[in-house]
Amino acid sequence: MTSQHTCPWWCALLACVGILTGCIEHELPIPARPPGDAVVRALDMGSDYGVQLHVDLASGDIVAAHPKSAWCLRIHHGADTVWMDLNSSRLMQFTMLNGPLVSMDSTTPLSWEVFSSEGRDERNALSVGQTWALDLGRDPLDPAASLGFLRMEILEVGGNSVSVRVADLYADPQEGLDWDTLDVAQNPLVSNTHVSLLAREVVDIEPHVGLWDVYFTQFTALVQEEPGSTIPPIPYLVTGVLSHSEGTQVMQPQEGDWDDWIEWTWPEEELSSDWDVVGFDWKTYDLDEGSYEVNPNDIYGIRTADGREFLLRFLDFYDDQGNTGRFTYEILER
Amino acid sequence: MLGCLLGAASLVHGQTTERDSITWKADLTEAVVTGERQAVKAHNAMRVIRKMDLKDAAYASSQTLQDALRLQNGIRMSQDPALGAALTMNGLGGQNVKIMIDGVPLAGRLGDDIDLAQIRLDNIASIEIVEGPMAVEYGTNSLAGTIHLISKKGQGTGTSAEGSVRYESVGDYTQSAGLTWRGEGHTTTVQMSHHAFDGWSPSDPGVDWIQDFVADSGRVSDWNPKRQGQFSLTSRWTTKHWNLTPKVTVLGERIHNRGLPRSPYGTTAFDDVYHTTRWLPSFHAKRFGADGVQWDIVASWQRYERRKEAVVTDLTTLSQTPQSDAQQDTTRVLASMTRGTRHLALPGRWGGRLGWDAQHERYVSGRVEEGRQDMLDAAAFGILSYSGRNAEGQVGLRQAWNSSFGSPLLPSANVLLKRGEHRVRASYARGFRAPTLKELHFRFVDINHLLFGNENLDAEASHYGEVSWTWAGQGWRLQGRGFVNSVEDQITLVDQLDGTFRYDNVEYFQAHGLGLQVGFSQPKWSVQSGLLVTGQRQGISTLVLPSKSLYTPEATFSGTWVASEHWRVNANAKIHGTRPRYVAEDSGGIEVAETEAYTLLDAQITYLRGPWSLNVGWNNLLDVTALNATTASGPHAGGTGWVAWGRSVALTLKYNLQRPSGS
Repeated sequence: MTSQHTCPWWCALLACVGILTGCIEHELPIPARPPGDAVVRALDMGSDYGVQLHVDLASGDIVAAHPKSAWCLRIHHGADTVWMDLNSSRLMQFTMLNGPLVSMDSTTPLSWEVFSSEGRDERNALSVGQTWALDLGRDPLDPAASLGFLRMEILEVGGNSVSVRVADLYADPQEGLDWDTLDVAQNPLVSNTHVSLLAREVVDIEPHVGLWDVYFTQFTALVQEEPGSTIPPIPYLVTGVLSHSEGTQVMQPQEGDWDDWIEWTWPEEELSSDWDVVGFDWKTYDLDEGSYEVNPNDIYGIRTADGREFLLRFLDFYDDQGNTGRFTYEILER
Repeated sequence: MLGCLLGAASLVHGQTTERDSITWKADLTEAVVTGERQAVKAHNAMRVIRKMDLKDAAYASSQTLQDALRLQNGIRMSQDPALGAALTMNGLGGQNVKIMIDGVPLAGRLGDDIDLAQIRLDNIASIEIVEGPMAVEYGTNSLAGTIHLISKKGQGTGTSAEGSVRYESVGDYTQSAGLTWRGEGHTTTVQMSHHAFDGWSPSDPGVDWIQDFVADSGRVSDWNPKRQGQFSLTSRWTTKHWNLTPKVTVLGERIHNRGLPRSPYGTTAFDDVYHTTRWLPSFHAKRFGADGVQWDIVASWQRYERRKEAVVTDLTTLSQTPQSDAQQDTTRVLASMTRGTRHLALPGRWGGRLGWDAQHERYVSGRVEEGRQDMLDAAAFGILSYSGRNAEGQVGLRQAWNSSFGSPLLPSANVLLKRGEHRVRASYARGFRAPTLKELHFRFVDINHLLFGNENLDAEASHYGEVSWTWAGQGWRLQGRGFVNSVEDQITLVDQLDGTFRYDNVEYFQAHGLGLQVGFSQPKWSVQSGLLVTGQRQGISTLVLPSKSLYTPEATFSGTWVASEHWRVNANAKIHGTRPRYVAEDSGGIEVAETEAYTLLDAQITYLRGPWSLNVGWNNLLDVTALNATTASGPHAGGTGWVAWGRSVALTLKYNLQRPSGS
């Protein structure tokens, strides 16, 4: 479509060029929010979730903090059983071996398991003669790398001590294993005695009983794809709060709101000693948004060992720069 | 002679009318060039080539490749809010569809796809679609097919200028301008455009004009707002035997992905701004002899950069703070290529082509090993052709050397039989797709991701066969076509069941289809209809899937009525049948998930008067936006995808001014 035209031909061109800048609608700010009187606290774990925090709810203080690589297993002396937990913040796994001198290499298929994040079961119980294969999990400095594999034989289980020996899992027993023996004595001031198998030593990282209530950490949860699925749950690293401090109980009410539970009596049957009632699912990952969404309607009632009761809800999981790992929560003691 | 030479590249080599210069009588509307020595009528091309002439009324409202392809048979479009528009061709998508502009393959894929909304058609005259691999001529990345965009050639004499403004009722605004001047031995064209889109969500009003908005939850759009600017400069120089075309195109794009106000107070939001730039300089040289094209050489150097700028926006002040470095990302692709073909006239009815094809690509990203990876691919190819009175044929071979992996010897063969206006074609081609630098060297490791490339990947390989019959006469054009495409060693990201994901050769894919097309044209009106039934079978080597193919029907209709000298009326529709596919369910079994059927319907009226034209287009009249996939047991998780924004009206006003030479 062309034509000869008497007007200067550049007029049309200039007109088009003149409006090339175009227009686009603009965003208008919302009013600033007046300050409230809520007790809001924040704890920063870092965007690599690299530390584990023991927290006192009454003061909000971090009583103790340590990197995820600080320990591998912890021993708890119960009334008639000695229990062992693994550091699930690194996705540590275990399987039982038929003896300390089983020969294998890295291609040998093993049925790895993880402990439940809810709490201990019979698999956590130690007894003399057991031999554990341990996957030390992922290196916190390079999540793609493994920290290695060990075999661990339980030599002695006493009322206030445990003795174990460890060696490389894939070393050849025919050529002799390089065993290290560790004696783990119970410290009556703490609930759990922590051991580093990387450094082959007992480490003093847990605060004394009564000084802390909850534990902010990564941990391994068994995640079911869909409720009712027949596919076994998958071990998955999540980030949240565990409550394995002795005597701590937690409830997550399904009805009522924050104000209601300030007033209502907490039903004893809803208070649980499971460690992962607070857990990780107060936040969800929104694939469309590409970010975590925190649900402030998920509220938790926490009764500490000394009987104090706290209402807690999470408000945010990001810092001011948009990094994950900062827990912002509102707390109120009844 | 000058004018003749200028157009030589796009003319149909049909009837020589003058022997003292290189002149062809041409029907431009039917000429195709993809895989041919020179422009030839589509009816006589060696392959089945689908040509889309963008001057047709059906494309009057199309401004990007996404718009132009959305109603084509065998092609399905999808939209990702962050990655843009992508397509699949007969079930294969991503890296398997090669997109070229004037013979230069486009680099810069995000994910696996080139964002089709970044390919503007302001300076494009036509699009040619060839299904099946053209690996001998064009190398890797064409297992599904090739989409070739042909630039405008600046026909006519004198100086011309054009400008257009376009508004679409979803809040989409475009302005463009172009200037072409012709001097002694050259034609030079400058084209520029600006495009602004203010985002769209289903809750938007039917007519979305410029209207400021408050930074609450309404700030989020399902289709992200964006701005684009494009500039291109093309100059065609002609000497006695050479046609030289230096060209540069620059595109800048800014997409604003606004996040939801964050709980609990809604005073901040995480926003991402994606800045994309594409530089595409190229140089094309053709040498003509008495028998047509002798040399055809193209070279280009592309630079693609996409920068993600992640910010925290304070919604009470709209001030923005950069998020940490870990949230920022820049990907840069530098691609240079050269391809040259020497056309040979052999004794008798024989002819041949010998050529080279070399490409170097550099991928720079914080998410590949060592931050930077290079790949060099160099190939030689030869094609021997026979052109008899009633039969034509060609066989081709390509041998490549690649710096990262071994390349197979690639053969192809084509036969064309002619009897009157009947044309019967048969073809076979071996295709392959080289693993990309990302698939070879990807490394994305942080607390949430453990994704890796794999340096031991093999190239994807395919066998493609096609048979077709075409008849044209008395205004009618009929075509039947059948094809089989079998792809092995498909590359995909595989869960290693230890918390990591790694690229691996694990998938196979097989597609076969039957298509029928009918068209009838008269001076005042034309109609076209097509039907395509495609069967697909896809699987993973580690998972046993049923061997039964799943079939998807598609149909297209297009009608154009030239009501008078001033009025054109056009309607286009595409019916997508249900698309079944196998999915692994949580129970461990295999189920068939079906994406629901839908129909896209567009209509438009164009008014032409002198240098002015006004087009009113009604797009997506049936208001199809998103699709759901369902299984026998209910909705399939993750089975929803965007197809198009809602029903809209587009107004396009164009002004085209021609200043005769010497005035």
